[in-house]
This record gives sequence, structure tokens and C-alpha cells, in this order.
Amino acid sequence: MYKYSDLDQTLVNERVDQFRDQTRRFLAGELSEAQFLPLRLQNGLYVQRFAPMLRIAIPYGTLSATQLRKLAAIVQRYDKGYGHFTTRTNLQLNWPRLEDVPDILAELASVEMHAIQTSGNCIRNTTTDALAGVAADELEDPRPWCEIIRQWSTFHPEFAYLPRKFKIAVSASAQDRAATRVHDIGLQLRHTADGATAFDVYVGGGLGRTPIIGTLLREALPWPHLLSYLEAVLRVYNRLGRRDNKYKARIKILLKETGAQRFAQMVEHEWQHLKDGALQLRAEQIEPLRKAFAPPAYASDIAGEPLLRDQHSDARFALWTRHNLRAHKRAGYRAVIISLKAPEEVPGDCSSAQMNLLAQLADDYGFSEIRVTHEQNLVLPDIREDQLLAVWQQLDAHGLATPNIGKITDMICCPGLDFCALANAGSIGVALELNQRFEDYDYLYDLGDLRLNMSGCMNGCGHHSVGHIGILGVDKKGEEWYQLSLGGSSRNDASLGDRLGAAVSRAAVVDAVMTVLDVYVKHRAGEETFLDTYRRLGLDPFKEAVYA
Amino acid sequence: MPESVLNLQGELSADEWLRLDDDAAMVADRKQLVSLARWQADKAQLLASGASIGVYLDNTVDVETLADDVSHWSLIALNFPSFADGRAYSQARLLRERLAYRGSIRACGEVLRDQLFYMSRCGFDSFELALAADPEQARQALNEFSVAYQQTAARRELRKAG
Repeated sequence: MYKYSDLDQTLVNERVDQFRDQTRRFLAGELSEAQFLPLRLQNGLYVQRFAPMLRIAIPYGTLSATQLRKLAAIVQRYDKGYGHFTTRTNLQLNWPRLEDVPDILAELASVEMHAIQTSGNCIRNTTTDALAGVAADELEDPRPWCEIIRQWSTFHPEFAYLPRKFKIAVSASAQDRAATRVHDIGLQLRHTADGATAFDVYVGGGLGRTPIIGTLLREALPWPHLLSYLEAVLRVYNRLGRRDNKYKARIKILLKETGAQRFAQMVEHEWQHLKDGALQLRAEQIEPLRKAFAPPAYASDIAGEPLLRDQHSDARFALWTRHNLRAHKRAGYRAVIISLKAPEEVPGDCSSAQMNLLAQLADDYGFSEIRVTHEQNLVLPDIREDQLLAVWQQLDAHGLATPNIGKITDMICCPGLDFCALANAGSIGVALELNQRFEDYDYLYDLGDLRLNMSGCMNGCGHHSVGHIGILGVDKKGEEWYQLSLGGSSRNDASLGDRLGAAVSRAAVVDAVMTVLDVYVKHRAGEETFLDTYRRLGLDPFKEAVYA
Repeated sequence: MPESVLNLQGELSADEWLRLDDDAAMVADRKQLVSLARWQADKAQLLASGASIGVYLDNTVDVETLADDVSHWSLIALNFPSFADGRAYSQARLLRERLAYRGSIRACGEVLRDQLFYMSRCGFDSFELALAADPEQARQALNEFSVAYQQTAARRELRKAG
């Protein structure tokens, strides 16, 4: 894992001092609410429905066991004993006291963490594949590039007051697990014919009110130009992005209104001035980062029989191994996905005790590393096959072994009306009710890979637009209603879901989902997935059944 | 109009610049701060006067189109209509780094203590503070960080990576 340099540490320490003083001035009445707002936002602090919400950055979703223990201690001491992992792979605290936030930031700084730029109209936390470094289908570990981007974007003096927030994602594998096509900038790493690293740069994707799939602005950008190209895109956006209407202020609108070709020319003009300047990356900058993320000391003599034997001896364990493991690039190892979607739990929530357990498992059975997925689960990336049973037993004892990864109950879900000041409708209650319908796991598995995403309002934090099934909470005369959409995807075949029809009531929404599933089961051809069936059939049969 | 402006050292001094309305006559022996329109209309007269010339720019101006003009100016005033409107940060960097402008760049409009550091990093060296200025607070704001990741043309004393 990357270790902070002296410069990194100095920077976060000075940030703590700065925010402590800003908070003091606000509480003393020297700063108005309007003046304090962007300052607290750029430290991840919102004012929510009941209390402030603090969003802690987890750069590219990688945590050390030490860091996770610190998070466990923080949620225990300053919150209600649990935190909520988000689609940006950050951790949200729902109940901290404003007065405590400087101390929380100081605790974070002590383990090389912060809450910098987790909110506000600035460059947000860069995300990547949760299986970075271990995925079998990966070209190279994307995290050195993510760390380069983290440093460049942290306190970038020119881009702290952009028209709107700005999100960057990096994928380095054949299968895009980082949703790059629905980011302001999505970087798809590739290798050129001579083996050099390059990036396909997608710009102007995004979810929210106006979901749009990103445009391929530049193919095979050579790695030394990564930052200069990002800076060129950001500068064009900062200068020309709309500031008259916050709903039209994202770069996707600028790109659309300007036209992709003209926009690309403007970026190109800017980039020609920047590309050979101070931002040009050199091999000696990248090498230390590649070393920081070098593979750990894997064993090469792991026998395969114990896993087979364990699967035979325990049916529940066998079930879990079928659904919650992912292929590892090293023989004898698996990546273990920890489901934060237990039937009776809020999707993405994790208690202090669970965090401590996972930190211990990472120390005892892995290389002291944990990952956060953008689907709001956690990952133990390096578990020996012959130790999977021992890990599972402990996970199972703590409610962390729900065998539902990639299935309909592994849903992405925003905090909704229960916490968020923006939400129109509850999402957590719907999630819990949906779970009750799937007590029969055979039906869950029979439905195969199915992504259900739910947002409590059109800001789309729950990524409903790219769910195979999307649910959007809307407000109708003070009542909670739900708009369904079908056919979305955030993978390589990215697409936006089609609106099924009029919104349905809270009482009817779960039945509507079940009806959609019935139609799929009736019409699917062999092993066909829900998404493929939908793409073949179109909206009509689903619509007819739901609104019959 | 504020009576004093802040410099990079956090010192306040009286504003030497006279902001001239577009239809106002020039005032002798004063540094004249004019709009871009006035400059474009009266360039010859302004230069012939021998006075120091400053120009204030809206934050929508593409400063690259001014490459032939800036060498005549000792001050460029950039505007923050709201502290949250960050377009002038890009203008300042382009002036310093692309046009190699060496005169003074002043931040005007809603210029608050907590944006001073970023402004200084982008090349601003003079600040018209929106609120009653506390020089001690301003000095503190300009020195809140001793390190930075980005190589901008300004504040070279900061410790940088790479």
C-alpha cells in the first residue's frame, strides 16, 4: 500500500489546523453560514436532516487494517457505532457533532486519512476497481495512477470552485468494474502495441438528473500526458461550464451543448500548451508508486484439495463460495467479497464491531488490506483457498456472510429520506421489504446476476439510471412514489435504463419489481440474464404486466 | 471601493489605483484602472498619457486574446462575482503561465480570507478584501499551507512534490 511521504503528512496535518480554525470562527460568529458552507463541504461536512453528515475519503477504495480499525474507533466514539459505505467508496458518518469534526479529522490524519474534497464543487475522490491489483483480467494495477491523480487533484488551487462537482474513475481491466462511462472523466487503461501504458479518456458521463454515457474524447493517451490532459479538460470546464443553473452545470451538459467535436478541439488547444510542461509525468515519479502497490509475498504452494473438501462438508459454506468469491491473478488465492447487504440491514452500513473483525481477518489471513466496492460492499482481496472456511466462519458469526453478491438483494441504495435532506422518498424501507421477498434463496439464485439500484431522489446517488432494474423515489403531493426503469448498465456495455411507466405507490413498488421478475423468468431463453432478456424483448411485456 | 488592498505579505496599503468610469476623463498623475472596453477604445490616448495603466476584466474574458495588450499593463484586476465562482483562478494562471504576464494581478469582488491561499497559488498578488481586513488573519490565511502538490508559477517557496 501507498505510505504517506512527509509532504503528504504535512499537508493533511495543516488541513486539520486550518479546519479547526474555520470551525472556531464559524462557531464564534466570525464566518457566516454561507461563507462556512464551501469550507465545510470541502472537508466532507454536510448539514443533514437530523445532524451533520461527515464523509471520509477512502482514496481508490483501499484501506489498511490500521485505517479500518481507526474508522471503527471513530464511529464508536463520535457516532452511533456504525458507518455507511457509499458508491464513491467513501465512509459516511450520520451523527457526528460539528464541534467534534476537527478532532475526527486529526484522528484520521494520524492514520494517513482525511475528508478532503469528499463534497463541494471540486474534484472528488478518484475511484477504481475494488479488485485492483488482484483481478485475474487486469492489465496492470490502476492504483499508482489513482494516487497520481489524488495528489494532483488535492487542493488544486485552480479547480476548487468549479461549476459543479467532478468525479474521475479509472479502470484497468477488460471488464469495467469502476463505472467509467458514467463519470465526468472515465479513464480506461490499455496497453499499446509496444506494451506501453495509455488511457482511453471518456468525458461527460454522469448520473443524476440528466444521465449521460461518456464520450470517448481521446484514444490511447500516452501515460506521460495523463495529468496535462486532465488539467486541459478541467480548465476548459472551469472557464466555460455553466454557472447559471446548478442542474446544468456538470461537464456533461457543457460537452453536449458545445458538441463533442468542438469540445475536443478546445481541450486539444489547451493541452498543446500544457503537454510538455511541468505536468508531464516521468518514469521516476511512477516507479515508486508501482513499488508501493507491488504484489505482496504470496505463497506458491497452496493446495486445492482443502477448499473442495470444505465445500463438501458444509453446504452453507459451499453456497457462499459460489457467490461471494472472485478470481485472483495468483493461483491458490481468492478475493472475498463481504456483503454489506444482509437482509435486515441497511445496504452499505457497517458496525464498529464488524469493521474491527474485518481488520483482524485482513491481518490474520490477508496482507492487512481491505477494499471498498462502489456497490457498497467490502473486499478481503488476498485470501488463501485453504483458509476460506476459517474466514467464512468468522464472517458468518458477525452477519457478514450473506451469499448474495451480484444478485438482486445486493442492491445499491442511497440513505434516502431516512437521513438525506435532499431525498423525496425512503429507499431503505423499500430495500428491507424487497429482502423479505427473497427469503427463498433458490429464487434469488435462479434470477442470476441482477443489479437493482435505488435512489431516493433524482440526484441519483443510488445510481438508479444504470441499474438493470432502477428505482427512483419521487414526491407526489407529499407522498412517496417510485419510478421504475429497466435495462441500465454501468459496465463496458453501459446504457441508461428506460422508464417503465408512471410511478407506483409505496405499497405497490415491491410487487411491481416482483412482477418484472416474473416476466423475465417467463421469457428468458436458457441461461439468459435479465439484462440480455430485456435487451431482446424491450419494454412492452414488462410494462403490460406491471400496469395490467 | 475599499480604501486599502492586501499584498502577498499580508500587508495593507492604500489603493494607488483610480478606477476610471468609461465616460470619465483621465486624472493627471494617477494610476488609471480602466475597463477592457475603455482600453480597446482609447488605447492610443491611454498610452500617450504616460500613466500606469491597469485593466479590469470580467471573468468570462478569454485572456489568451489579450496577448498583445498585457505588456502595456501594470495591473490586471480579475473579478469574483461570488467567492464560489472560480473562473478567475484559470484567468490568473493563464496570464502568468501562458502570457508570462509579470505585472500585478488583483482579486476583486467577493474576496474572502479563506480563498486567499488558492488565489496566491494561481498568481494573484493583490487583494481587495470584501470585508474589513484583519491583516493578521490575512497573513495567517496566506500561510496556512507550507506544501503543495501542483507546480504553478506562483508561491515558489512552497515545498512541492515531484
